Amino acid sequence: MSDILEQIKAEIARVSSATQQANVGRITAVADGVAHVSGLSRAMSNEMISFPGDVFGMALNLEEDEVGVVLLGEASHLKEGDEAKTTGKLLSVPVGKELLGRAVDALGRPVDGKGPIAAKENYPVERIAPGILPRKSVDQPIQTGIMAVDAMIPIGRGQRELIIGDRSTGKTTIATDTIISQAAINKKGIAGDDKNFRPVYSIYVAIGQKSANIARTIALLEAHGAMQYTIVVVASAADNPSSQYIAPYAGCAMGEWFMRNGMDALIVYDDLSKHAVAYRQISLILKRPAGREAYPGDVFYLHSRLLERAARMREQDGNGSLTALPIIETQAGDFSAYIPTNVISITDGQIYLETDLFNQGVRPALNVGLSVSRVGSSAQTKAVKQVGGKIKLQLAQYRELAAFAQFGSDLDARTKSTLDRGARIIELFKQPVAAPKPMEVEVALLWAMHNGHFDKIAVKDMIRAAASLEEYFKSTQTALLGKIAEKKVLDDGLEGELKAAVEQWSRTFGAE
Amino acid sequence: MVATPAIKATARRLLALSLDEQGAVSAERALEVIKVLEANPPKRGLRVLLKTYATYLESHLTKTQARIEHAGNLDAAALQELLTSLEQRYNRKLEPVVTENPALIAGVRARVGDDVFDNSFASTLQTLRQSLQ
Repeated sequence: MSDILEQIKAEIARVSSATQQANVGRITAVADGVAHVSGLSRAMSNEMISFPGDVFGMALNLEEDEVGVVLLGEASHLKEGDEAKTTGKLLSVPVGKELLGRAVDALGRPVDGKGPIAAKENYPVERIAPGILPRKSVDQPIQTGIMAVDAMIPIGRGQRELIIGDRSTGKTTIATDTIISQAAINKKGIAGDDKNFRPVYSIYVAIGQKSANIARTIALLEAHGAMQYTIVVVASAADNPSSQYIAPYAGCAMGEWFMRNGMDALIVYDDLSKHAVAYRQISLILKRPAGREAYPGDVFYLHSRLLERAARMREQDGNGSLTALPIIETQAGDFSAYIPTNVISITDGQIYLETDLFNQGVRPALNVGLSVSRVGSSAQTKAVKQVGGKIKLQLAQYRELAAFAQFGSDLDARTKSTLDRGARIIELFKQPVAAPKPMEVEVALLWAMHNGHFDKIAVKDMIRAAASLEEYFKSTQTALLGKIAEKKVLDDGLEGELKAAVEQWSRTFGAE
Repeated sequence: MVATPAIKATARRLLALSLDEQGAVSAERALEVIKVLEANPPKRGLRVLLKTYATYLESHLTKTQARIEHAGNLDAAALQELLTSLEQRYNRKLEPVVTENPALIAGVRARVGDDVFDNSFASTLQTLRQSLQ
């Protein structure tokens, strides 16, 4: 009780009795989450506008005698004639470590029922991306824990890597697995004695998704102990389009706080297709001219200004980073549609997931030919690069030959060997949900594949063999795994130890 | 229905016809405009046109007036001081429209055009409430 009284006294002391100046207007029309307000002659673009009943909006359209305001939150009580007031503030959200472990809405208000968030700082949701000078090349890896991605499409800290595919192809799973993998690395790193360890904090932005799916994702992150390093920004399908439009920028502001304070953060935008649809809806209601597929003319800028905010900063500017994993849902595999091509051209590569592969049981359903990482290879851990370098080529050759091999049975030895190796690589890369592998385990498995230690195992037994080898390494070769994790490069000594260990495992596995 | 650019342009022309030589709103001219509109209504959108016209008239009026609300006593000297200060700020003559508003609890609120200057106790309480949320 005395605390509350003290707080009230402190607030009274802080409240100024000076005259408050505001610019006001009146609602002339309100519908579909957008209010048209006459007056507000001094409103700034993106300024927060206050309405009766603690409702806020953001000024988007500044016209000669009217302002178009997108309303944030529940605004069904607003009516024509209600007063609107400028606040002099740009739309901003709370930021900081206090938000970790919490689910918040597009304005940073908690939606998880765990009480208020005592954030000390606020950042504007719209901010100009870092320029050329404070940036640095991507040179540190983000370990996704997904062997196929880490080996063939490596992602670096500060990179923008698009995850693209049809519905139900495992796009969200790749993102959540990466968050879970980072949480596992964080736990190990923080508990360890490496003073240079840099944890990666995650922000998951759910845009236009079903609430049940969002709840499932949060439960998955909680079950794997990843929520304590994660902020979930929720703008579900039930929220109005303005919240869905703001949510990625709000999440980005939360991620920028980590980056600007010398830390590393990872942000997942799930997904930007729905974000573009929400923006199209707002733009049409604001009567902006419609262009291709009825999207407004600035839909490219909508995503480019968001994704450009992901960056790796140089040492003088804090050495922080913000890695972005935007997700795009395609329709019937058409990645040449408007929004997918826009985002492909903005990002530094894409992970393309295919329905056919998914239905064949290849999960993650990566299309190796269409997936690429433009900057990640310079960030790839050297040990992974040593063993995984040729895998992508071998897999691409396999895919090409497999198509032809269906028509004939007479194959030369070299083709057969390529096909056999490819089939085994595909089996090796199959990975269950929420089971990310540590880098050293990936290296050991890839080394065994690269050096032909799986060649004698039947393709149907490959998953069992890979699991057995992983278990063997984790239970009996922890010292060797520790050395790989520490050195991050395979020298002759380590390769010798790996050979001895894998040969020993081969004997036990063969005897099973 | 939201006013289309054509309706807005017509409403602006009607507003121009409602002003006297000094640029102030003339009640006679505005009534004349409404009479002509009644006699020759447009095929569509009369209601929206009238609403837009009324909004423009109101907006124009508020620019030439200082609408002062107060709770408690406001003596003539204080009112004149406030009016002078506002006229200096906007560099034009303002017509005072004074009303008593008990909802302010205490203090004064003045409005010129879209600008509101609020020095009332109700607004201070509102600020305090927001800061405690």
